Amino acid sequence: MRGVHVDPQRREVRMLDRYVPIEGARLLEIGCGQGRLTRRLATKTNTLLGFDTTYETVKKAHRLIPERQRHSTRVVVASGVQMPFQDRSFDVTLFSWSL
Amino acid sequence: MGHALRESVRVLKSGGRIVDLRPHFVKAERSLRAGREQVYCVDEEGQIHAATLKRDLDGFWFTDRLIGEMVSTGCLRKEAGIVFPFNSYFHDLEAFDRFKSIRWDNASMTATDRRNLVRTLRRNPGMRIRIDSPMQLNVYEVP
Repeated sequence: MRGVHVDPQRREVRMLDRYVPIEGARLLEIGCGQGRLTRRLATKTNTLLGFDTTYETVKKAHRLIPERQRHSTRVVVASGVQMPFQDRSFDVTLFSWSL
Repeated sequence: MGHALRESVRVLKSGGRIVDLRPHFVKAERSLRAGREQVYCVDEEGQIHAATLKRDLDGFWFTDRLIGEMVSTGCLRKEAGIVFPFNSYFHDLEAFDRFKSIRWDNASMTATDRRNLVRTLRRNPGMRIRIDSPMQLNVYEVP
C-alpha cells in the first residue's frame, strides 16, 4: 500500500527464523491476506501455501508474488473451518494476526 | 478460530509446529494508555509522542483459552513464547487513515488523540507516523 511500510526492519521474519524450523519446510500460512509475510518467507521455505477467505484478497496476493517465487509459493481461496489439504501434509502452520 | 486451530493440527505432520504471531497486550492493562499501541511522529531529528491506538482484541482472549486447554490436555506442547517490538510507518495521515480503515478496522483513537496527531503533523510537516505495536510469537509442537 502506497506510503505504508510495515515492519521495515523485518523483525517478524528474523524471529520466525530464530524460533521456528522454517528452513526448507513445507509451510501453510492461514489467513495470508495480501501476502506481505508470504513474500518475505517464500525464499526460506521449501513450499509455501497461503490461503485466505476472499477471492479479491487472494487475487491481489497472487499478483504481488514475484515471478522468481512462483515455483514454490501459491495462494488460494479457502476456509479455516474445513481446510482443503491432506492430513499430515505440512511441517509448519502459521497464523499471523489471524488466530 | 477454534475450527482453524483444530484443522491446523490435522494437516500438520507429527512433530510439526503451529506458529501464532499477533499483537501482545496484557488484558489487565488494556484500559491504560501505556497498555495500548503508541503513535509517534518521527523524523531524523527525533520523535514526538502524539497518540495511542486502542484495539478490540476480545477474539484473542478466546484463542488463549482454547490453546490453554489444548496444551493442558496434551494436544499441543508450548515450545517458545517471546515478545518483540514491531513498527509500522506511514508517510502521512492519509496513508495511515487508508491503512487503518482497510487493515486495522478493530483499532480506534480518541478524538483528543486524533486532534493531537493532526496538530503535531501540521507543525512538523516533514514528520512521518510510526506505530509501535509489541508483538508476541508463540510456537507449539504437535506431539
